[in-house]
Amino acid sequence: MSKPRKSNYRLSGERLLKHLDAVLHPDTGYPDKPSWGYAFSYLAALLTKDGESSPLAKKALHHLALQDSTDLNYSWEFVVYALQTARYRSPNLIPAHMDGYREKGTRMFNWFLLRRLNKKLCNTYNTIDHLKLWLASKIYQESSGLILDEFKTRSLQYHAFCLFAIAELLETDPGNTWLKRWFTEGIRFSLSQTLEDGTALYIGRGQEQIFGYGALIYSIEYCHSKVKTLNEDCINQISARLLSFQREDGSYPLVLRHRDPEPKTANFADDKPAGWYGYNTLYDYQPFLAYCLLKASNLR
Amino acid sequence: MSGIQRCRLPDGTNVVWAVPLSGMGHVADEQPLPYIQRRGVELTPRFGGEEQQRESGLTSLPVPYGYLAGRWPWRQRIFNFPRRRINIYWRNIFKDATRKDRLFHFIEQLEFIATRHGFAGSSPLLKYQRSFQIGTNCIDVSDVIEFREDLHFAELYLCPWADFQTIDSSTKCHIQPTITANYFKPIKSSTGAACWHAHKVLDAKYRRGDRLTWEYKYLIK
Repeated sequence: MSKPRKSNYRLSGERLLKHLDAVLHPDTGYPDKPSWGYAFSYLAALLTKDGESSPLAKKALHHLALQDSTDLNYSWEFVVYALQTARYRSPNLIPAHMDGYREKGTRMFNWFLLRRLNKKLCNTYNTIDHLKLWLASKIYQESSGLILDEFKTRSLQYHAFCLFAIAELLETDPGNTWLKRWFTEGIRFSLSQTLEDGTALYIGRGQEQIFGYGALIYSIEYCHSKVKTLNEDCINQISARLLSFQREDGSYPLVLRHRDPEPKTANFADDKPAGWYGYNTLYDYQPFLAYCLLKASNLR
Repeated sequence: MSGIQRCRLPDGTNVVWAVPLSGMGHVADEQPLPYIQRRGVELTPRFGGEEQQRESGLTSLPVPYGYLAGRWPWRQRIFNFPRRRINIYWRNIFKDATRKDRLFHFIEQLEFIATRHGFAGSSPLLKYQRSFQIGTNCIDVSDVIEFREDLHFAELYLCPWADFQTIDSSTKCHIQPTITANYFKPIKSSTGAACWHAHKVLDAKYRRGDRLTWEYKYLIK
């Protein structure tokens, strides 16, 4: 990875976390209730210089522990991933009632991949999981390279998040040739769909959302650093497009567009911003983006 | 295959459209008319978002739709019977595309395939074809509907299209349909607010063998 790109990711990720720290109230939490955003705020904060002693890490962990994890709709897949990844950096702080493997069971393919990854992180991954993953790699990827989040649909954002999950699986099993082929075919598809200005997520659920850009940036940088050298022009275009949307206060809009921009503090209930879904919140997607940027900046 | 079609005009303008998913996908998966973009500036809208909102729901897509005047014809009911969106939710096993409100949306009621210059959809009641012809600074889109059975719509929206409604000297893309619009509604998507235009026909009756055609010319400055 080129040095300027890497330092741009770090700078942008740190500015975004500074913004998140400023809006995360110690008593009331984020201005809009996140699903798994506290877990990713904590994880992202661990990638900064102050790590677990940073105010953001402490506040995020506090609010994470207060979440109602008994709710049937609690997004365990994302929380388990964040906490089990955080465990490697800060093993002693995970709330006891959130430790270990749990799942909500959402059937979308990106959640399926996250479950396989979480099983690896929790050391509960077995031969059946491996067989399921192998079968899924054959069924859920079209010959074009597109990974389907649901059959008969097409979403460039969820394709990108699937690549993120596969990159993480590959990290646990670097010698796996079919996993590598699956991943590189997916990356090839993403790059082939990217327009010359770096617009990469223009069709499907979650068009042009920062969640997908975070996942895509990390996946292509991971591929470029560890799997296969890619065309740097295309990476530069995607990266430049994303970073150009960062506001002066460090925040990002949830959907990237220049015309008719969304309000800075948008939330779905009050604003119904264009291009958002009912489950979207800035405080899930901004922490995830910060995490991906910082994680990409750490790639060697 | 993904069904996403892309091309680039000599001045660097990107043009994207996609073969419809026959009602199995989400609204945001569809791009039945060209999404045109130049150097990061969107010249025409994309579609989709929260589907519970009318402005980004199924009827925000620029494909003809209407409401049947009478009950669903049996041939369409039988055609729709196996067409259930269980790829999205298992509970859709109990729900097919034969809607109680008699909405006959071409995206949902027809089975689409890619053609050499665009896409074609068919159902027992009608055939519909859209072709794209790319020029150096323009795109010509032609639509044809052929009725295979007598069909009566209480209301029907023909020649639909969408734009950003910024008609001024800076407008980079003018869309000229051959049928004048008499119906307008706001829509929104990840490209922001836009306007949906169509020609609304009330009490529209067609006989087997009838044929409707129109065109759109996209002029890019």
